[in-house]
Amino acid sequence: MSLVKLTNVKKYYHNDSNMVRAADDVSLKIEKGEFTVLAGPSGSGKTTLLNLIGGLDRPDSGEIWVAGQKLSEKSQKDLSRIRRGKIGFIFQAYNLVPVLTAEENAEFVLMLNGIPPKKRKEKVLAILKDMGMEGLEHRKPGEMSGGQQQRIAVARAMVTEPDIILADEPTANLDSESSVNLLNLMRTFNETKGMTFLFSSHDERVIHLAKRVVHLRDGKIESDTEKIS
Amino acid sequence: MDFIEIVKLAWKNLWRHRIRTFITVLAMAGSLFLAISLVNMAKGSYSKMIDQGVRSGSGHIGVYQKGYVKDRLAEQSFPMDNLLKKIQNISGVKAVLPHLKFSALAQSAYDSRGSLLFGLKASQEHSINPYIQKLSEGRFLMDSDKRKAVVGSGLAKELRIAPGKSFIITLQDKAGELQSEKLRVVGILQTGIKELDNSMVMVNLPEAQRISGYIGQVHELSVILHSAFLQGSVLPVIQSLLSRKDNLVALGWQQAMPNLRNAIQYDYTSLRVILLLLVTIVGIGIINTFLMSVLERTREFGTLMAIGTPPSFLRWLVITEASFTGLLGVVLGWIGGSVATYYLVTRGLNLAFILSDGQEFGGVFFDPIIRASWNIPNMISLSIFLFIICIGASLYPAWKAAKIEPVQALK
Ligand SMILES: Nc1ncnc2c1ncn2[C@@H]1O[C@H](COP(=O)(O)OP(=O)(O)OP(=O)(O)O)[C@@H](O)[C@H]1O
Ligand SMILES: [Mg+2]
Repeated sequence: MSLVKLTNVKKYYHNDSNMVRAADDVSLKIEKGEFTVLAGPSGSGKTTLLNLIGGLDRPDSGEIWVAGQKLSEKSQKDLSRIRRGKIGFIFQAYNLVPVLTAEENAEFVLMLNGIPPKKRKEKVLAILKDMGMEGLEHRKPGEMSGGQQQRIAVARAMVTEPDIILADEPTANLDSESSVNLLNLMRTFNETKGMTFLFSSHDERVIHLAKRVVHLRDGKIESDTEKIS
Repeated sequence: MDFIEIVKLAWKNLWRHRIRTFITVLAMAGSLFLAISLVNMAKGSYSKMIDQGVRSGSGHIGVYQKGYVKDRLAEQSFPMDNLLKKIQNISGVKAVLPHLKFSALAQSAYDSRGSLLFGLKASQEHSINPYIQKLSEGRFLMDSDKRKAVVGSGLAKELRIAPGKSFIITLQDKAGELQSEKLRVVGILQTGIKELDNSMVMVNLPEAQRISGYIGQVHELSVILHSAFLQGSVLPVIQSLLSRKDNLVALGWQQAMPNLRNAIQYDYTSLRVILLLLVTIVGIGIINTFLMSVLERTREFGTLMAIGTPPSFLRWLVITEASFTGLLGVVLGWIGGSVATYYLVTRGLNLAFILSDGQEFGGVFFDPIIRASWNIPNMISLSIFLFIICIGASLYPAWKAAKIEPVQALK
């Protein structure tokens, strides 16, 4: 069974007079180990789709399965549990907790999952080491660059070893060099640890680094191309 | 859920906006400080007033003939004989003061005035009754004095008498006959209470009994205890002593001095209303602050929820932040209130500049220096009350935090 499976998913918004089809009869499968980008112009439905897969939003119709769970049958409480257990999130604006250090931010979800402090520290330090971020673990977000903060956000998503990491425009706030670096880091994790990534972007250089490109337009899948690298 | 982690995060969040936290803590501390000092001050002055009222009037417990407190008739007297001794032997009793009181006419060569002839045991009364320490001229009575009187300052002025001068006192005796007696003034009493200063004629008890014909009789046995707290245990003992004398009653000062009791009750109630208003205003202010602190973290809380933080975590986080604020406010307020109380207990507050000569409260003379008293149970309940207000003020913001929609918050 696919890791993520969407069948005939619809999400419509009704603005003042017209209706917006943010997800218009989308069917999509993501397999374990993919490194896939959702591409498309602004307003094409990338965020909508990621929110639906992440269980942050519910579709008007259609079915969504993530890691063997049918999301439409789940309560808010269950969805919250699925998010902290099976999914990692990376956001455009990093969204770290400003009063916590890099290390504390990265271990937040482990803490929610009841992992003991020593074990948390071990895991986080190992990831930070993999990222070449040793020595930054006691910095607060305000004391780090955007690229460094986003790496901590990647660490926060990675450290629980989720089934999939969802990232909505993770590079939109970064300069092009940091963007490529971040993508390379994600891709390394994808290749060395088999971590599945689904991210969105409209930056050609970033899209270029994905293994599979799903193009959206007006809530529909316009094209779906796999690259043999 | 891991409460230790919530507590840690809440503590860190508290110092995000130092100034704001400081102001919130200060508002709480300030209101607790005020509440503690005002209540301790009020309690201190009440207990002083009660003490003075008790010593000069009814005693902590007064023994009367039924109806005397209301009617004050001369014939409502009773023989004191061995009752006085029996009461004196009850543990907790400091003194039993016999009083005999009559309306009388005081006359000098210049004028005549209505007065109160007050028979008392000079030596005993001297050490207890605070009024007697307020002699403006001359000396107090001695037990051996015969045909001597201490006269209220107002009355002395009207009659133009002074120590060494004499005047005539006239009253209706037990048989209904008018009796006159020439008395020599030995001292002038100045209590500050017009009613007393304008009418008081104090004489030795045997003298009052002899002039009036009420031999061996009193109107009041005024029982002074070692402490006001003993009233509850001593009163029933005296009541059981009186059970065979069915025309006598023992009353606590609250019944014997209803004016004082009402004045205190009124004063304390208005103090509490003012404090309640103060705390309500502070409470509204902190609801606003807590709400602001939640709303400005909408994105942060939305993110945390998106990555799987349960809403209850955020709810408890906000409540815990409020608890810290409340705790700091209470500690600071307690310290401030204690320092103020310590000062007001040891030095007191001199209100002489506000009060002129009418230093009276509920019919009791009022010393212009009022001192606070320590009321630890009161301080604890005020602190708990304020802490609960603080937690209460955080409930709506906490609920609001748990209701944040991640999709909206992350836009
Ligand atoms: N809450 C909402 N209410 C109304 N319309 C919405 C809402 N959320 C999204 N939309 C609309 O749905 C469409 C898809 O939005 P979405 O945010 O998914 O696009 P996107 O591809 O992520 O765009 P961008 O690249 O600008 O982030 C847009 O036309 C948007 O205006
Ligand atoms: Mg978007």
